[in-house]
Amino acid sequence: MQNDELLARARQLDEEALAAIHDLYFPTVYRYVRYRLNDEQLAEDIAAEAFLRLLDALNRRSAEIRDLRAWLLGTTSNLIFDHLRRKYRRPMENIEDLEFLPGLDNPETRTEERDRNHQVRSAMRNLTPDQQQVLSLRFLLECSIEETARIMRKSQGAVKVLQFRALAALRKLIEDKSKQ
Amino acid sequence: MNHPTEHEYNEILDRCLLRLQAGEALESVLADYPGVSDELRPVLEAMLALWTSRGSDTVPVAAMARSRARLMTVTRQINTMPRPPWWKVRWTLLSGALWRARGAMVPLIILGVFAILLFSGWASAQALPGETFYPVKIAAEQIVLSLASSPADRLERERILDLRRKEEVETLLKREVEQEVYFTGFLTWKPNEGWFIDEIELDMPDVLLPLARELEDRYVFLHADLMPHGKMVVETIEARMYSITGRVTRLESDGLSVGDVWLRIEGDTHITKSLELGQTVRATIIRLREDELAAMKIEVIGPAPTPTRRPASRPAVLPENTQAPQDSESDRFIEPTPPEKQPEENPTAQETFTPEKTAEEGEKPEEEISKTPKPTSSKEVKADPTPEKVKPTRTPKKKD
Repeated sequence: MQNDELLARARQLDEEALAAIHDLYFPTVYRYVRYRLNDEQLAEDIAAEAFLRLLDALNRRSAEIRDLRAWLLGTTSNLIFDHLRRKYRRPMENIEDLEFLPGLDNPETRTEERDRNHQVRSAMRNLTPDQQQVLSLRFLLECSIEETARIMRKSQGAVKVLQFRALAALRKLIEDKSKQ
Repeated sequence: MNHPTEHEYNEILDRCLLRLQAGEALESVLADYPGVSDELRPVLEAMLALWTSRGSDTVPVAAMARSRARLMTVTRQINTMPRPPWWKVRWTLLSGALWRARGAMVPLIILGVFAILLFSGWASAQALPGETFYPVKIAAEQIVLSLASSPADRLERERILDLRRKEEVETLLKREVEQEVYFTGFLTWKPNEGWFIDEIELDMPDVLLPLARELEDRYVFLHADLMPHGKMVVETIEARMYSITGRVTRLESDGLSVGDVWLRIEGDTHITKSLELGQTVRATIIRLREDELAAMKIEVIGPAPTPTRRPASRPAVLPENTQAPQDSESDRFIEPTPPEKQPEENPTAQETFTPEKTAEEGEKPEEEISKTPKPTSSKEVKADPTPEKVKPTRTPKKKD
């Protein structure tokens, strides 16, 4: 089924269309949450919540959805932000505590590369939420600049600047951690 | 090579990222940008590190199945619920659209309110009694009236409004409509013709004739019913009175100035206390002619301020055996005695001015004020027997 047709049928709360949308986008949403929060259970809960929000928006007709993927990732970003704010109850600039989240201990990659990966992801959590989001969308989900701009509700130019600064900040954080 | 601007740098970075994501080696990409490779390298390395830190791309099947099941359960619940009525759906759509457009709505709303105010202001200015915007017109006039800078200014504005009321009545007369009206003017009797307010003929009921005769040639306030055939049937008639509060600035045998308004004192003028300059008084007045006012009652509500004493002067050096005057500290600087009773003055204008009406026929007024002041030749001012007060001079001086 084409996306437009899927969306049109989903607006009528067609179960088949909704299931198809779910299966199409769940992996993307799940990976996104897992990368941001490094927690599988949370990834499942938040991903499921994102689709329930979609159902609610379609039922109430309160949101004009043109791009399902962008809408879902934007909603998921908001859910992630809400979770972090609830959990830590402090300004998002101080997110050092995220370093103590249970890490993704992948038994298949017990190498220096795993340590390096952990180092990078730990450093990433010290970035601002916007910086984290742009790097996750651009390099984890491989979203284009246009799509990233749509999801983040920013201009493409702003996304490019944000991306550059996020990468520069990340590089510095990685270097600082290496020296410690 | 000139250092690129931030925009140019971002463009270069973007191209590099795309090439790396396509699988090209880092050194190969950097070789194309020798001038900025030192700056690009750490950023591109960070990107590669991020990319490789993604970890496993697998998604637990069970997690996906559980999520799908939750979604389907809720969908079925919604589908089995009765649909909301069409108007509720449409309202939700409309309210959603309005909410999204709220940013643009605010200036539109402000503009709309302004346009409504402008239109209502224009419409009200033309309004006649009985028309929708007439109350708006009256309210606006009252605001203008309250902004008068002095009693004389206020009187003038009242006069203009009285003229306006009369013009409205004349317009209604031409239209031959049926309408309840209120207006003011000098009541005159023309033999063989009848009673008039200026050129407006009145139908005076028999029951009001005695009062009308008392008020002949007086400035009156009229309540009447305008009939379609042009007849003005009088409902009530009374002397038009005003109330003015201010300081006595001039005192003569036949009149006084309260603020900037000259008032004639008639034989029947009731004065509660001997008058003196500087007192605060409240005067109830009527209009004798277009530019002549008479006081019906003058009530002293505040004494004249006590003049200040000069600070006691002392010689620089006292001669011998001279006792210094026993001046107390408080005597050196004497402040004016505050008035015994402070009048309730308008904070914006010291003198206030409010119209009053006499009681209608059949009602006993609270204070016994003669409704038909008769001009007399008496020049004495009635006063309570209180000594040591300044008496007005006997030289009559009329205010121009």
